[in-house]
Parts: sequence; C-alpha cells; structure tokens
Amino acid sequence: MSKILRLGWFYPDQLSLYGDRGNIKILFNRCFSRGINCIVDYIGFGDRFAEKDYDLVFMGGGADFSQSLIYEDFIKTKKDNLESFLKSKGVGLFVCGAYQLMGHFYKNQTGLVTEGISLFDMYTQSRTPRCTGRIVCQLPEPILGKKYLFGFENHSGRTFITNNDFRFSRVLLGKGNNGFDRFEGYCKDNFIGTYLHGPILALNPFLADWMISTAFKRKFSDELLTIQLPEDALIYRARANLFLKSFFSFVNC
Amino acid sequence: MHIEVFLLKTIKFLLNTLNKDAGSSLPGFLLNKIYPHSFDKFVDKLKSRLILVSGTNGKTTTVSLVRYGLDFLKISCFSNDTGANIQSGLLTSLGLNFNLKSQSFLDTGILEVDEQHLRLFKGRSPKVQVFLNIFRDQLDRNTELEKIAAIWKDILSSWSKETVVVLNADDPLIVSLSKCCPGRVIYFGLQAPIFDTSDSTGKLTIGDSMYCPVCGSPLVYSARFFSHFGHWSCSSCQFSRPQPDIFVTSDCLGGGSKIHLPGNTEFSLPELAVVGSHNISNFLAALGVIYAYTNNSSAIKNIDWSNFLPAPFRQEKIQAGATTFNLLLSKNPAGLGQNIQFIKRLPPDILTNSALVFGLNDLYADGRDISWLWDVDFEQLPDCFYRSGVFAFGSRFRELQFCLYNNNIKSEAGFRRFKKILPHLKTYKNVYVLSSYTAMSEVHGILKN
Repeated sequence: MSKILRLGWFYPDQLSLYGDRGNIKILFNRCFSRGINCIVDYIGFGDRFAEKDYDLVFMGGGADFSQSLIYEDFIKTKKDNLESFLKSKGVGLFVCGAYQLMGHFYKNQTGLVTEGISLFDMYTQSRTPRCTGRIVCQLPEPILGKKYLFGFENHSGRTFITNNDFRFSRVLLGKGNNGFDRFEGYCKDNFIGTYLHGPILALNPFLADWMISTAFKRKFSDELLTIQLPEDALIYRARANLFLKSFFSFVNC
Repeated sequence: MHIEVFLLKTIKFLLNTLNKDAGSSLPGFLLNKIYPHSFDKFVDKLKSRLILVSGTNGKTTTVSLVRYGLDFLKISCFSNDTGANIQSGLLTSLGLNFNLKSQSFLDTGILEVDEQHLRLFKGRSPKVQVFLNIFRDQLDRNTELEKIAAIWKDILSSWSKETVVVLNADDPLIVSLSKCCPGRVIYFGLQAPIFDTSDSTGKLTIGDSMYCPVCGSPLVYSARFFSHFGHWSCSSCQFSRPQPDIFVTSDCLGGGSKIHLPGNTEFSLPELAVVGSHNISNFLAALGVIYAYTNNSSAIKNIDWSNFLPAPFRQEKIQAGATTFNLLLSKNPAGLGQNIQFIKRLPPDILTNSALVFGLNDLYADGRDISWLWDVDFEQLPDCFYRSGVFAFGSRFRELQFCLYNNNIKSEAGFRRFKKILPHLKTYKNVYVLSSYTAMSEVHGILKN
C-alpha cells in the first residue's frame, strides 16, 4: 500500500456520543478497500492541528455538557489552522455538536452561549421540542450518482444559516436545520456540517467515497476509482426500506 | 379504588384467557385511560413499602435477585418481574396487588422503573431506591446522560429522609446523586475486577461518562472495570469514589471472591445463574437493597442463591431439540459489550460448536436510532466468529450486517424474521442470541412454542 491519507479525529473522547466512531471506521475501511492506508490521529485537548499534515478531518456529536468542555480549546488551538485547511480545500465532516461549534455560537435554553469558531456563517439556538426522528434529504446535485441522504436526527438546536448558498441538502422528511426552512446541513468548499446520525457515512457510504476521492485528488492530483463495494448492496436495500418506513410514518402522523 | 382494582383484574383475566403471557402492561394502559388518577391512588397507598430500581442496565436482573432474596427471608413481596417498567406496566403491577377492598397485605413491592418514568414518584417517598448505573441508551428518548441525572436529582430532593438510597460507587454520575439524597445512603461497588474485561492490548471500551459531573474535569482511574465503572476520582476537585458499604473483593481474577457486608460480615461470592462483572454489580445492588430493607447482614449471609433463575432474556437458556439457546438481551453499547465479554470467556470446546445471532429492531421499546451499534467493540469477539457462525435478523438486519462487515465479521445470513434463521442453526450445540428488546421477544415467543 503506497498511498496514505491522514485523518484527524477531533476530540474523540468528548464528542463521540452517538456512534460517531462508525464514521471513522467506514472511512478507514473504504480507504483500505481501495489500497489506501488511512492513518487516524486523535486530536484532543491542547493538541495543535498541523493542517498541512492532514487530508481529512472529522468531529462528532456530544451533549451540551461535552461541547461546553471543549469549545475554548477548539477556538484557541484549532480554529486558525482549521480555517487554513478549509481554504486549502481540505475535506472535513462535522456532525451534530461539532456542526454547531463550526458556527458563530450555540445558545442553550437557559440562555448560556457557547462560542463557535465561525467558519460556518450560521448560529444555533436550542428550543423545544427536540428534533428527533428519521430524516431523508435530497442533494442539489448527485454525489457519485446518489441524490438522497438518509439518517436519524436528534438535536434541540435550531440552526440558522445566513447565506442560502451554503445549505447542504433539502429536507424531504424530517426537520433538518431548524424545522422551518426545510434545509439540512452546511457545505462550504469541502467541509460538510450536518445533523445526520446513523452514523451518516454508514447509511450514505457514497459520501465517504466522495470524501476519500476528494482528499485523494487534492493530495495526489489523481482520480480515485470509487466503484460501489460489494457490501454496499446491503445498505442500499436498507435505504429503500427506510424510505418507505419514513414515508408511512410521515403520512400517519 | 374498588372499581379500579376490579376493572384492572378483569382486563388481566380476559387477556390471560387469550394468551397466558399477556397483560403485563395493557390492563394498566386501559385503566389509565378510564381512570387517569388511578396510578396516584395506588402509589399513595403503597409508597412507604415500595422498593424502586432504576438505571440503564440491570434493572430486571436486580429486581429478580431482590425478589429471590426477600422471598428466601420470608418477606412477602410483589414485583413487575416481566420488565414492564413504564407507567402502564407499573400501574398493572401495583393494581394487581390489591384485593377488591383496596387492601394490600404484602410486605413490599419491588418495581423496576424506567429512567424517564421515575418522575411518577416525585413527592412519593419509597422505602428504598437503588440507582444502578447510567449508560447511553435510546438516546432518541433519553437524550443526554446528564439530563437523566438532573431529573433524578430533582426527584430525590422531593423525598423524605426515611427513604434509603442505594448507589453504585463505581459510577461517578450515580455517586453525584448523593448530595440530593434526603436520608441514608448505602454504596455498593467492586473492589477488584472479577473478570478481566480488557482486550489483548489492555484497552477498555470508551466510557459513557468520563468527566467529573461536578466540575467537568477529566476523571482519573486507579482501576477501570468496564465502560466508566471503576475506582475514579476527579483530576481537579475533591469528588471521588466513596468507599462502598457492600463490596466484593477477589484474590485473583475469576476466583476467591468474597462479599463484604456492613457489620464485618463476609461470605464467598456464590455461583450465580447470571455471570459477568455487570451481573456481579447487579448482585451487589440487590444485596444493598435487601440490607437497606432488613438491616440484617447475618440473614443476608445465609441466603442460599443456588436456586436463583435468571429473568427472561437475561442469560436465559431455552432448550430446543439438541440446541441450547442462550438469550442475552443487548440494547446499548455497554450491555452488548458486556455480553460480548461473556462470549469471549466461554471455553474453546463450547465455542467451536456455537453460533451467534444478532438481532436488531428499531421500534420504540428498542430505541429508534441504531447509531449506537457502531460504538460496540465487536473486535472483542473470539476469532472463530470472524470466519463463520454469525447470523443477523430484525427490522434493521441489513445495517447490522453492514456494521459487522465493517468489523471484519462476515455474517452467514440475514433475515427480517428470526424463524428464517432457525434452519441454519440446527447443527449448532449452542446458540447465543444477542438482541434488542422486541427482537428478543420474537425469539422467546418462537422458541417457547
């Protein structure tokens, strides 16, 4: 295996509430299946993010409590280099709590404000009731031939994006960013923020392939063949089933 | 109350004529629709005699251990031992305990109570309350661990000082409840691991609660047993594991273990029908409850546990022809992780002729979000299962197979229904079913019939 992609996993101890390490596992395995060695580094408290050494970054979800533990460190030790990474077209995926911290701030229900790193032009306010349930979204343009995202959302935050150009996908079933504007997630260059759990890459393995091939092209100036892997057939059958279930629960309520 | 009792018992009787196993929750559900205040009436009459069991994992096993112990000590009791632990199930268990004159003659009632439904007892002080643990479980319903702890603190603060609270010293989030306890607190805990729960590299699974619930600093462990259980202290403030009143020590891993009770009473850890460090923890919790109720260590020492049978789905064995099915309820990362540890410790001669069946549904009782599956350390499974002998079923069997595949485990087959897997299992001497709740009910129903 001659080619290496380096993946930085931010705050794995604090922000892995929700099967997020499944996203890491899927990225690692799909790199391996294509003859790429994926090296995963933990980037935690106090660790500087040496952005030139990395090709992909991931940061997962956590409770309000966990976010409050790390936000100062996130701003102090990672913000600047993450911004450079974004500008240099590095690939990043930020889920749920991480997604919120990429914005300007997160305000909880008692009014307490947790500052974000403002790489995404958005803010989040916690409200009741929680947005919980299956979610199906449609991408504006297909990614590797796939147009639909499946997941499970579970968040009290309502995220409001200033610039419509950065909305990631349109909500077909579910709540999305705020339950009003029918959009989900944020996409800027090669950074994606989203509320989708599942984990997101388990239910949408094409997205993992997009991340890997984009990082590969950025690093090696070469295209990576991303044919569907044999085990993906399981997931695409499961997605069809999920779509029917989500549709019937939508019709039924 | 006479009418409520009559109605409840009539509904239960009618359901049982159709199906002998029915009626653990539906009578309570229907009664609540007709008489919405019946739950309050029943609880108010009984509250000072009630033992409540709450926690993420181990409630049903702990209730059956407490019931067994109190029965042995000739203390009459009722319990919701089918595991029906939300309002309808609690109401059914409470109501069935009364006669038509609204009298209850049993000494005590032991109720397992769902994490979210303990709020039904706010302001209604039970005799004993035990908190077992808090793990991630059904996050679509339970959201965050800290929020559950906050709910429990609020409830504890509403109780009188007569209530004795039994807490797990090994779980820092549980110990944080102590400052809201109005009266006496009894701690239980493991002084040493009974079984080695680390993998070959010495690493343990990620814990669900690794930060100080008081100040948020990282916790430091001098010994870590599984998940976030262990001997912990805060790296910053004074918050640390209290010395338990009831604990187990072992001279070596897997042998020579002793139980210590207050009053310098000790006895050898009995051979229980349920095994694993998590079940030893449940056993200590049960002893804590019995001690809180009786204050009699000598009597507890003399309980003969040899006839204790596990609760349904909790290491329950069902014989079907030449195959022994072992049911291991697995509904969250901590629970499935502990069951995998149990499988890992099976002797090689048992493993060679064993199959694993994983089951996953996503109904309300299972938790609708299955993301937690990816937090399970499947790589702890014995090597023989990487090649063969693994099957999957349930409404999310494909995602389950995909997850196993990404953990280098290629399942032989996957089906929506358990009965379609049965023909594949005939050649195995032992089958271990690790499944979420409703999927396990399906298995149980098929095997029992």
